[in-house]
Amino acid sequence: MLTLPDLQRSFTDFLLSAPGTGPDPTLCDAIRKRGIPAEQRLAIYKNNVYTQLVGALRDSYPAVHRLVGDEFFRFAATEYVLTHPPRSPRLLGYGDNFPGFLEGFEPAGPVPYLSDVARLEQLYLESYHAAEATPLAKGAFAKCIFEGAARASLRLHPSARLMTSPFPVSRIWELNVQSSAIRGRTQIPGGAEYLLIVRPRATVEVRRISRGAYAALAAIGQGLAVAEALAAGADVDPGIDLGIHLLSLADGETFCSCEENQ
Amino acid sequence: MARLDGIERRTSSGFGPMSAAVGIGLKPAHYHALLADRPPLDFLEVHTENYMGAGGPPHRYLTELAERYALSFHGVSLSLGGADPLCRSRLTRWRELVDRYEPALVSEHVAWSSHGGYTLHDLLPIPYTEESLRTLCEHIEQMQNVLGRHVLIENPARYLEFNDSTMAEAEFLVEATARTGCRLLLDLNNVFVSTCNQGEDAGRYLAGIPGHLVEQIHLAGHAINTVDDDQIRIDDHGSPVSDPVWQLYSDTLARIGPRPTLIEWDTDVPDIGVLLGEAECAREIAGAAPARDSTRRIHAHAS
Repeated sequence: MLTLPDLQRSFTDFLLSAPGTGPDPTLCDAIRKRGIPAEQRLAIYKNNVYTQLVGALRDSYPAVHRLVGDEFFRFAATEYVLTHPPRSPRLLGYGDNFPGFLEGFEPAGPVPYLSDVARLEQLYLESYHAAEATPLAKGAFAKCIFEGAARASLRLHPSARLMTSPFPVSRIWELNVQSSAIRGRTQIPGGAEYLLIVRPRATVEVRRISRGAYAALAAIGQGLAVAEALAAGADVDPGIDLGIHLLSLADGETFCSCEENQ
Repeated sequence: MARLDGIERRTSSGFGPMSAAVGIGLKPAHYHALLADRPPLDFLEVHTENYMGAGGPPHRYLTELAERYALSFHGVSLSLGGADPLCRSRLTRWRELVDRYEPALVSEHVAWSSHGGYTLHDLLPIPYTEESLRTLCEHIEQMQNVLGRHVLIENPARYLEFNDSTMAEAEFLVEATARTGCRLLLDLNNVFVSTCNQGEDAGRYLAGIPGHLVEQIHLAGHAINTVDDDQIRIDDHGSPVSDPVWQLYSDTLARIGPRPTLIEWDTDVPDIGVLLGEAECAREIAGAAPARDSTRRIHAHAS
């Protein structure tokens, strides 16, 4: 007779083992023999676990799924389940390491932008579920940034995420989450992208921003004062008026507070 | 046992525990249709785990819907039957959600889903032994104490039985209610699936469940797989409620009177009209059933 902890340990080992791996004989012996053999009864649970986890990844990464097709996605997702057994009861966050996994997943090598598309989808989900906050009004922002408040600090909206990629990742993503089918070859303007992902209200927005704005927002995200953030932006992108650029982002409700520093 | 001390018996939010209320499982695909059309439902049930994020559209929609419909919070991953301790941060988050939305019904499963730091995201079977019962009851009491109210426990769909079991499932569930003051969420599809998968009789199972312990009923569809020459029924919530399960529902209500009843559909979720049609079937059967406990019956009403 197995104790409850021993039974659940043995059951867990079986459920998380590679597909096709059978259960331990002691686990089989614990199961009542009637009709369908114990191995096949246990296999139903294992199939449920894999179906659930692979399905959760497919739901979180629809563009990746569409880019590689269902068969390859299942193959990759199954490998992910094997190497990243779920540790959190929160299924929503199960795929958080999937972008990193894909980056090192050799069979996905021919699609070099795949892990960046996955990273964008992961940030999209983070933004989707992030805490609510009232966006900073444009007037309050303009006052903060133009009226000598150079030492003020801005706080990014809790749903704001930044990412950069050497690939046109947001354009690839857009094409692959739109419902209309892509026919034949599609031309995508090449080049690196700097992205702001933010959900000021009910809808997540993916915005392409300038390299300078990206650097300034990253500095703001690290808690630097406005003047320092603008300088950081100007360093990488001296050609643009960052004040105006950030104002247009504030118009898009990217920030949620502006505090005067003493 | 005096386990109910300090645990409030709730009958708020529009319907009582013995009412003929009818609801459906809430799916994101139906947020807009529910808000726009306000179909005549008495309650919506959510998987609590899907609302554990800090904010975003799930909470925006649920907040709006909570103004129109009573809610049922149905947990799928507390692992009440697990040998490991319950996750405290998880329970705290449950409490926050219950405080925020004040659901009419709160439930979890007689199953385990976590062990040794891993979460399997499936409702796994426990042997029906005294050891399992002690563990389960300890966890139910912990959940009830944190939430400050009694909870309902649901009979799981099972694909196997353990040799070590010393009790039938019905006996095990009834004993858990006696020890903890919890009540039952009777999933009739699960009763049918589990008894068929063991070559047992669903009617006999149900005869072991006293009606006054049942405070909610679940109905759903299941799939039939064939292994060699044997059939096994899989609780996939991906099709209409089957005829034998409607029959069990009708028979059960004839015996115990109407109960808040939920239509579940979680796989290949169809247009909301399909779910509303199923809910209407349940309402017709419930309308034909005699109210067995009229003093406690509060007439249900939508919005």
